Amino acid sequence: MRRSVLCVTALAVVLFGCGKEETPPPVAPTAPTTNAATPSAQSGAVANTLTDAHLEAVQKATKPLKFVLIVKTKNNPFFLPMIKAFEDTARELGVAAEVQAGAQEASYEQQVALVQTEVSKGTAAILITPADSKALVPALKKAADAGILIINLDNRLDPETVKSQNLSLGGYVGVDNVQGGEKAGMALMEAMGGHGDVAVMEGIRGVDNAEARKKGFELAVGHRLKIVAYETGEWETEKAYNKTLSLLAAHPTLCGIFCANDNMAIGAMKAVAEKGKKGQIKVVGYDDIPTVTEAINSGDLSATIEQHPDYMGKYGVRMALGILQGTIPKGSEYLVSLETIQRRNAVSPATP
Amino acid sequence: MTHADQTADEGAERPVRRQAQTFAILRSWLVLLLVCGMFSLHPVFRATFWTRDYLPDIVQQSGRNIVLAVGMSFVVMTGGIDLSVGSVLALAGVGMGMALSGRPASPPWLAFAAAFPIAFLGVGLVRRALNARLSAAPIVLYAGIFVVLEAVVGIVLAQALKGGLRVEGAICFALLIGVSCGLVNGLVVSIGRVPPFVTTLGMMSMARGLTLYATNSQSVSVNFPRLRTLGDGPPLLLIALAVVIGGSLLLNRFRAGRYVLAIGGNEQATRLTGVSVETYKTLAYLLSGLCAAIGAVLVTAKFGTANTGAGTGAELDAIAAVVIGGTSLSGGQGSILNALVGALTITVITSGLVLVGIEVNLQQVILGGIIVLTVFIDQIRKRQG
Repeated sequence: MRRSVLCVTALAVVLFGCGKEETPPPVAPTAPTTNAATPSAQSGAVANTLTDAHLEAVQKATKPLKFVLIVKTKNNPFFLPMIKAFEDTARELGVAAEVQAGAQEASYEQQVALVQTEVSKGTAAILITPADSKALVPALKKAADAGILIINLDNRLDPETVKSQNLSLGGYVGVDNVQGGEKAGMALMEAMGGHGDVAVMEGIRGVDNAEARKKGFELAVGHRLKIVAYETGEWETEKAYNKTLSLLAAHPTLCGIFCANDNMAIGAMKAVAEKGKKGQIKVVGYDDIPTVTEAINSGDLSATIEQHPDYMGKYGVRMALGILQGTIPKGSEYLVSLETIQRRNAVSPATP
Repeated sequence: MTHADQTADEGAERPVRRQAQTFAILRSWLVLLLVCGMFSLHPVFRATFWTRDYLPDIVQQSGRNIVLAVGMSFVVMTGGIDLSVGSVLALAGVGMGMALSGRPASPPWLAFAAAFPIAFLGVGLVRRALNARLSAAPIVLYAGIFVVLEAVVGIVLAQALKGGLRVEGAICFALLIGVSCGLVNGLVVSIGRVPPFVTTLGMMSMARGLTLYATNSQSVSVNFPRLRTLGDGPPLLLIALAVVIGGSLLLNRFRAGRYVLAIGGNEQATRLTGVSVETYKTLAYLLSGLCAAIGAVLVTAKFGTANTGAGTGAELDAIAAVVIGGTSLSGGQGSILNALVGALTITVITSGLVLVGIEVNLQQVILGGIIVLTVFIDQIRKRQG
């Protein structure tokens, strides 16, 4: 696969470290490196951050255990690698696995019901990607009180609410969406040649990862590119297409669009192509779903962010088992490293 | 061409009725003009909207909703509602995608689902033919015919799917899936007497679930140039227009259309005049399913991908278009042009709000407010008139 990795961890450090003094970030295309996860910018609490080695050391289960993974919805292809890795790792470690899901991305009531059912089913651990970062806390608290280990995946539970309700979380495995947004911002900036007007196509407002990606994007481009419009495509191709058509008319100077997921990027690319502005207006997506691979290769999509959801499934199981066996302390955290996916020759012009 | 707003109650006085008719025809256009006028107060809107570059975009944006709103109109005119169109759109879309690309392979049960309307039609034809000679044919006979037809057509379709279909075949397959869902809705509502809200809410959940189940939750890439042209510029416009004209003709020039309105006006009275209420009610839901499938073809063609999440919330857009067009949710009146104008109005509002740069959260508030306000003014007018 024609992919290359753009490691901007160093950049993140530069950005965070320098504060007001803005130096042009040196965009350094490098070969894939083991990208050490930077500590999350959004979590205030000091957590015990684990590395791959800690989690790989977890041993096979000695007694029968059952783990349940509750994802937001199976509607979003993002969760499929997570589910598969969860099931595979559970099998490998001799743990029984079960997967549950809500109907829609925002079906948190359904998730609450699913958590409640698990309490009476003799489950050892619940791994959950909460559809709402606050509303699920009371249900999870009940489950935790009943002796079930709770591992939070992907979308982070609101630390304030967790604290105030006294929920004792097993741990967190996820990505730093702020960092992802920054990487997307860097990629867009690079594609645009470092200046110009951009628009942000957000996910559903108020959802944690949508807000974090937006925040990260703003952090990365804030002082260099001009953000002329914020719109939401509600994670949806068609809505993003409609909004983009209007944005293109209202902002003729637009040079770039950041879409908070790839489904929306497909819609934005279509609108850009229809208006004959392919190449003039750069589009950057997020998630690296299979349907955009072609667009990445043809250069229609300048970049997208791969979050390795499979790692979340894999290391979620390992963390849960490690805590149950006592080799990993409760309240641990593991952050999956993010990758910027671009067309190879967009990074190194030497290749034909 | 249309005499819009055909009310079922014929008792009203002539002059008053004519005046009301003229108003009903103009009403939806007035709303659209008013919305355009209000937005035109903003300089950016004036500069960007009224251009040869942007006006066609309005049609491109509303094409899918126009098609769905036409189908929805028939259901609403019977006094019902169809909440399942968004999910049916997704199911028909991935059905078409799988039939074309073969990745993932189309599951056999989808072929049997698509065979349902054909088998049903077959039984209907046999029954009509036999009724002339036989006063009462045993139900077992019909069941037998149905099972045989379903099995034969299903197996043939499943075999055809294995080899992959041409673009035309895949489109027909999508339409069959849509019709199948609509037919189930219609039969459950009319013969099963389950309230439309419940029936279609159930179908909404089932069709979305089947979409995910059939594809293992993966969106399907459908990058076929011959299909993709359908989703662009003139072809999309022509398809949407054809649906509007077809719907108008059916409503105004055929008995079926008049019966649909009559059922919405007074179901009991219509039944007493000897009209098969069940048949025409079912027809309305079937048309809605068909339109959802046409919408699926348009969306899939446009983006070259059949998303499992396609059409989320589309039912609400379609209902809003019908309502803002002036068709009453209590049934018995309305026209297809209303749906067209309603869908255009919704698009002008949503895109206008982006053009003038209203904050995202406020956009929803304003759209919702305009919908309620339009219907509210209608109600005041009706009470006075």
